[in-house]
Amino acid sequence: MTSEKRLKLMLENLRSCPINEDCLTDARQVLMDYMKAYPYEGSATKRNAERRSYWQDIKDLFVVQRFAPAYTFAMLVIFIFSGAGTIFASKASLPGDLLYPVKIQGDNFNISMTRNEDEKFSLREKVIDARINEISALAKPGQGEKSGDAEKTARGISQAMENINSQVNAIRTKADEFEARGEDVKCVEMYNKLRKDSWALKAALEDRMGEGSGKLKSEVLKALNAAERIEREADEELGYYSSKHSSKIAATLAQWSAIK
Amino acid sequence: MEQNNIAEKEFIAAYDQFSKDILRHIYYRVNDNALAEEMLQETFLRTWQYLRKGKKVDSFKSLLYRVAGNMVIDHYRTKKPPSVDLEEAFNLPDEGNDRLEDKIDRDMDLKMIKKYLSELADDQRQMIIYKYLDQLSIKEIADITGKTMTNIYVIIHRGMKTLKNKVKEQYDQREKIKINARESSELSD
Repeated sequence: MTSEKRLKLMLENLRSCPINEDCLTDARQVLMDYMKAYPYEGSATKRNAERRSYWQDIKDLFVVQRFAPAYTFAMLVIFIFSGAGTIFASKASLPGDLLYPVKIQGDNFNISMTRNEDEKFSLREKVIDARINEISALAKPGQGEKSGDAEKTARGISQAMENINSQVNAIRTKADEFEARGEDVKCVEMYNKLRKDSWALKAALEDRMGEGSGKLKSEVLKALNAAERIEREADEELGYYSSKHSSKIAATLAQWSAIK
Repeated sequence: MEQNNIAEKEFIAAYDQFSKDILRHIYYRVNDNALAEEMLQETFLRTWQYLRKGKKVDSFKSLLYRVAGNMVIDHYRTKKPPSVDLEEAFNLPDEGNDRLEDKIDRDMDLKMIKKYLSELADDQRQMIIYKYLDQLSIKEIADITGKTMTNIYVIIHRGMKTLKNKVKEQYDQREKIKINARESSELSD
């Protein structure tokens, strides 16, 4: 019996826990008494609900629907013109800048608008690359040395790392879905890329290792720990797939030699 | 009047059909027999309070599990969740005609799986209980919990992966112990 089947069987065996029949009988009696005290009153309640709904319909007709198209159109025009300008201006922003959250939202919007799963993954990878480049720019020696700059640099690294972590989590969730569908090759590809990202992130932070003080130092340390975690988790998953497929290949070879 | 009788009869029939499953589900979530019995009663009373106002439901089963699940969550919100020790929750019945060796193995397996189940993350334990103990379909679990089917599938998959690794480790250990015992008995012979 495979370990999967055995596990399911064990779980199903837990169904055989003894049930206190007396408790069920008592609860049934209490329920019946309660139902007598509070009988079904469905039809009366329903009539009240119907009365309310006529008034609601009339109100909706005069108040909301009459202005709805013009209002929506005006909001849309304002949104498109102001939004496009802001998004364009945010392109060159770095973590810690005022427009940086707009840039992040723009990236998230692009990802959410993409339907194809492979494209979505490659967009997420591009976003991670961009964030690592930003961290690299922020972590250059000399950055954050003026008073007040250190805080901004620390905040920037924290913002960029937050985004990297959320992209990594999304990729891991997607990899789990692929695994559930038996698409192991895609999972391996994803974890390989995540492992490379972790190396790039560590390289970006290299110049700053052990330098600085206070908040900046702690943010760099946090980012390094996150990079270590991403690498460790990717390694674990790659190890799992490697052993899974090695055992499959070994089993097939054993079958072949038995046939021979 | 006739409609009232039909609704009441349907609800009592639902009680007869699902009360055991709901009770077992609550047992495994709260790990306290008396509390589970109390919560079962409360589940059905609350569900009746909802239905008696003429609310229509697609499935009694899903509604009952949803109410029971909310009660468990409410219970843990007001009280810090205890470390769930399912080992102590039940003494499973023996199967009389088992060989002693099989019986020991079976007993060890059940204790092991209960222990590992209790060590899982809360959402993984909850979904695995729904799927394998309550034997609900993924669609039913989605109706009850409000999560997407993919999300549920992923949570179950992760939980099962963790359980499988732990069970495998345990079996490997047992196998090593058996081999050692055999070797030492051969040496002593």
